[in-house]
Amino acid sequence: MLNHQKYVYIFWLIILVTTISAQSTEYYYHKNPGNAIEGEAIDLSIMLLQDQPVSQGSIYFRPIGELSYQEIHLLKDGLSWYGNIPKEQVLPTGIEYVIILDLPFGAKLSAPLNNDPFEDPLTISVRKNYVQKEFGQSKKISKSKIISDVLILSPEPGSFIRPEDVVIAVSTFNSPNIDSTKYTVLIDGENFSDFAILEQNILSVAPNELDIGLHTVQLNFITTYGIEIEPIIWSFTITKSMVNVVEQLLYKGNINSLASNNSASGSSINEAEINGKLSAELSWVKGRVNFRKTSRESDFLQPLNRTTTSLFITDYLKIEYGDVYPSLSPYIIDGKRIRGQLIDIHLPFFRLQTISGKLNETVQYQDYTNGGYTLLGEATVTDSTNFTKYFMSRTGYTFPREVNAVKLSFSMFNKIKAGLHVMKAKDDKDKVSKSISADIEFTVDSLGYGIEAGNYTFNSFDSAVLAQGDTIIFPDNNWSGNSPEDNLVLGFDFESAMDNRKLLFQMGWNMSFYNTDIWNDEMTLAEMDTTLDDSLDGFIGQVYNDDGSIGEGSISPIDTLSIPNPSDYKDIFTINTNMIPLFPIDIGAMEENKIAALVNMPSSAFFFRLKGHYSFNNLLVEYRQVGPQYKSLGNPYLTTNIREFNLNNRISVLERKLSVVFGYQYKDNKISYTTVDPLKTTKYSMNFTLVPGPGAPSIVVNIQSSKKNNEIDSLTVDAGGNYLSDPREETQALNTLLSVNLPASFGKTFNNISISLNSIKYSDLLLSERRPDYFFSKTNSTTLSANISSRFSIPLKTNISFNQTKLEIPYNSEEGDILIKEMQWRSLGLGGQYGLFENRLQIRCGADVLTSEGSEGVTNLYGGTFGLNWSIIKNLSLNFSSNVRLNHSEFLKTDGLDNDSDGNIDEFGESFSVNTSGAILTLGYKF
Amino acid sequence: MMMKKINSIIILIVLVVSSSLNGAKIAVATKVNGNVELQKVGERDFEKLKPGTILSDGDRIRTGSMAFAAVIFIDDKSTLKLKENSEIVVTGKRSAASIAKKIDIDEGTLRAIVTDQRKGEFVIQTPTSVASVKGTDFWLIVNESEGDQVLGLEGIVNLLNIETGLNIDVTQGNTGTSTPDGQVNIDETNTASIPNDPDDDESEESQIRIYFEGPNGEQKSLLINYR
Repeated sequence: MLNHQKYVYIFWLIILVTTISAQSTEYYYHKNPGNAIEGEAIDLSIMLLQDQPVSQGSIYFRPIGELSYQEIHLLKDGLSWYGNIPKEQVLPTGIEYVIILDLPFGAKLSAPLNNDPFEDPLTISVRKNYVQKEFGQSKKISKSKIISDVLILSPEPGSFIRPEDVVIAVSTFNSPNIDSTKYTVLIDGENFSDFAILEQNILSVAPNELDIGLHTVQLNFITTYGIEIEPIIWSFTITKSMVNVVEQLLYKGNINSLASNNSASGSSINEAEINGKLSAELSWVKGRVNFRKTSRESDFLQPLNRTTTSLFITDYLKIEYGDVYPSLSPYIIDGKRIRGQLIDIHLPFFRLQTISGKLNETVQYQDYTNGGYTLLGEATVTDSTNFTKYFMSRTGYTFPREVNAVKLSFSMFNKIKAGLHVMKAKDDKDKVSKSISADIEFTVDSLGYGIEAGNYTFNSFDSAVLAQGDTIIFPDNNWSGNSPEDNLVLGFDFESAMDNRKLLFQMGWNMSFYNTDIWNDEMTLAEMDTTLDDSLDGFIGQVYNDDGSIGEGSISPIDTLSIPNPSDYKDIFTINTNMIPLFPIDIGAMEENKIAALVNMPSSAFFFRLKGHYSFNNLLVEYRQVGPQYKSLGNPYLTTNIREFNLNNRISVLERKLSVVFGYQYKDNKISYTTVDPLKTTKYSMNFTLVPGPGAPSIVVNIQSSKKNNEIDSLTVDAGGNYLSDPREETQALNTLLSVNLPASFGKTFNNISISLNSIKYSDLLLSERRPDYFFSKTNSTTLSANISSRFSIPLKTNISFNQTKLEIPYNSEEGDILIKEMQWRSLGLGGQYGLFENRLQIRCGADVLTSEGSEGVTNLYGGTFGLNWSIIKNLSLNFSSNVRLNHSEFLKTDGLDNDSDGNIDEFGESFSVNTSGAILTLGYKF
Repeated sequence: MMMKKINSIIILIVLVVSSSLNGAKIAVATKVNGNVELQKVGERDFEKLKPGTILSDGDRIRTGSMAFAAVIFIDDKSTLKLKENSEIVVTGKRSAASIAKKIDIDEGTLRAIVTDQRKGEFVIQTPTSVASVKGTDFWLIVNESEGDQVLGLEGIVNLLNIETGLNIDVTQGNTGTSTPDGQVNIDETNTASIPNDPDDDESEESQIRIYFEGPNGEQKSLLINYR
């Protein structure tokens, strides 16, 4: 009973103390923490009980006994405002504080709620912490001024800057109570206040040239309450030249070593790698070295090791040596690796870029059977005396491909730019040897001819052939592997800026010459003469009748004396019958329309582009054409045989929060006069992207209608007029997308939720004209995906993702009916990362499952990942990551087969198999 | 009387309109090299951008050939560095606690150093993508016809393709790409492809701590920070 009474008393005592310490008024609720521990930050909050339009809030606090208050800006969270008193300021003397909330028209709300809260502040008693105190950590506070949160924007304290870069700027954004009319700016004690601007919390001064050397800035402010703020003082150094090279040398870099093992479908790859970066800077010159050495480097592959050395001399000269990635134009070279050197001289009105090096390195052969030699079985001949000639050739090689390119550009007052570029790439056929390693084997099949089938080295085969009295024919060139190639591309681009660069006109034109086989070098004039007309008469294209008179089939005969000799140009381009184009102009098109023939030269590529930025519109009008024979070995993946017209307008409204894009595109492959059944595509699109800003949801809606037509308007029938197939294509694809990206904070947890729904539906626009048995093969799909990534106040990050894809695949049943098969797969993934030991050790793990439902049954793919980042000591870190993926197909246990080849049929483990696995270990050091 | 009322209304409208055109101050240009121009919000013409210029919500900046500009936001010191031939519109909504920043970039190369210590958070929109960033340092290369590349130097950048809604998180040492045909991809960064920062002063700060002991055994330490 007594005990019970005691608890009741304690309960009421707690209620009483809580009520006394809480500052609850009709406007707000604020709880005074009452007690705190020395050296531990104190969290304070105030919750509004009425919907007051508070614009900002501050805590003013001071250790008891100090004369002045320091200010902390409050953050808003719903109806609450919160902030904390920094741990350095929590001293055993105790804390006095006042909370001020600013209301419209100069009104203020304070805790404590009275007319002069600074005279009667709230107090917190602070308990001494004997354990945590660290010598020298507390900050001495001036007894007459307050410290305010003024942010130095420029220059950085202690920085070295050039005279022309001196801008002094500070932000008082986090100290809203600073009086913007009363301040002084002192530089080395000299008053620069008259040159300063203080607008909406930004103070900026751009003083005229200051002397070389150390300078000290002092800013003096007062608050709107008239309290002086502790002066903001910092120093920086203006420097023009290096006084002491060693002192001014800045360098940094890192070095990492990596070991990995990856397995997929039973094959395994082990790799070790070391990579690093070193950059150094000395005023106007910067240098950088990147390298990677990998155990996968092999004589049988293109190089995988990388080394790049870069030197930047001011902004005007860049020299790179090693593996460089030049980008001169999308039509010649655009980021493809070259081993060589790049020089870029970039002056205000002039720019010269030169590249020289190799696109490919020499590979002599491949280290497997038939990877170096091959026996041309079909070419083997045996004469009537039973004498057999065996023909051999080389395979598995790659010629070194030398490349040289130059781009010369001019610019005039940012209004006109023009550039010329040329690239030459050629394989060096002499660098691949006919004779290679004696161990390389090739296959001899059961041809007969007396040689036993099997694998032979060249020597063993030669012996076998000689033993039979036969011979081997092995030519020095024209091997069965790749042929050496030659490529010359040249062109120009031009840009004109109008209306103060709001309207840009850009165009470019390029022409390629490509030789697919230069084994036989360039043609002679005599060979040219006979190439087209078979007669060596000094005229190309002239044919003769049997009586020697000029025949009617002559096509504008050209006198060989009037054309240059190809051998004179062999260093520029190899001219022979393998060159593309043989004639730059489509002769058939020339007869139809000369201008069209010139424009549509099959080896040319060009574009016209008009870009406008007016008001809230971004307009793009573009025509682009790449001929079917256009080829640049510097950008071999450029899509060719395409011409397209694009019209796009992006309108930004609602203060650029909403952008609406209307687009039209027409595309076809009807460049060549002789193109049969060209495919044309017309696309209309609309995109709405709402991005209100950080912390707000962004929404994307995309609708795209794409029509395809192959211009065929008849059915394929046999000689008897019977239907064979319907090759007509006139389809429409409707692609719709809704995507929502929602950042959401719950307390101190930050989440990003993204949901996306995508649907692609095809329709046959000729459906009404089709036969009932016509098979329309397009597959409709619907995809739903959702992802939630979260960051917690503890060092935990998580990610949850879900994806569902549904396909509707048309197929022909055994009975000939056209049916729709639904396939569906779903995946769910969970992942997380947790930091330990002040985030020096981060552990990551994840699991995912993918389920697919097909005609055979359900297959599950289970995946797991584990990894860690460990910052062992400062600058030294260890990273480990691993993954495994298992297949699980339940139906494999009932199919009556030994699927895992272990001698048992349909046992328990048969439904599981390892799909992929891998582990990577990296040790890195930064300096 | 009626005229007075109309005049008052007109003056009020003019004041409201002019105040909305002169956007809130949100950033300051701290470095300008070469031909860098500023189109102030609500104005038609560009003018030369001078170092120290205070920038408002809605200002447009463009850099010419070989030009460079650095802009610092005033709430959290987040920095934008613009390389040559770039054009951005800087928008920011001020609240009491922070500035909600949004950058529109049509073309060009920028580096964003978004501080994590304070409220650093912003969104960058390109014709192809939306990049949401917090506590991050990265390069963004924007090409209207080829798409975007995000080269992560530190932190995480969420890159959303507005054509397909696909999005990826680009982390340190990786490059995320977002193309006009709707694809997003992430791959290890080729360090040689990282643009050169003319203003690079990111060498890490180091410390030297020297301990002193007085005749009575009291200890003091001198801490020297250097780069």
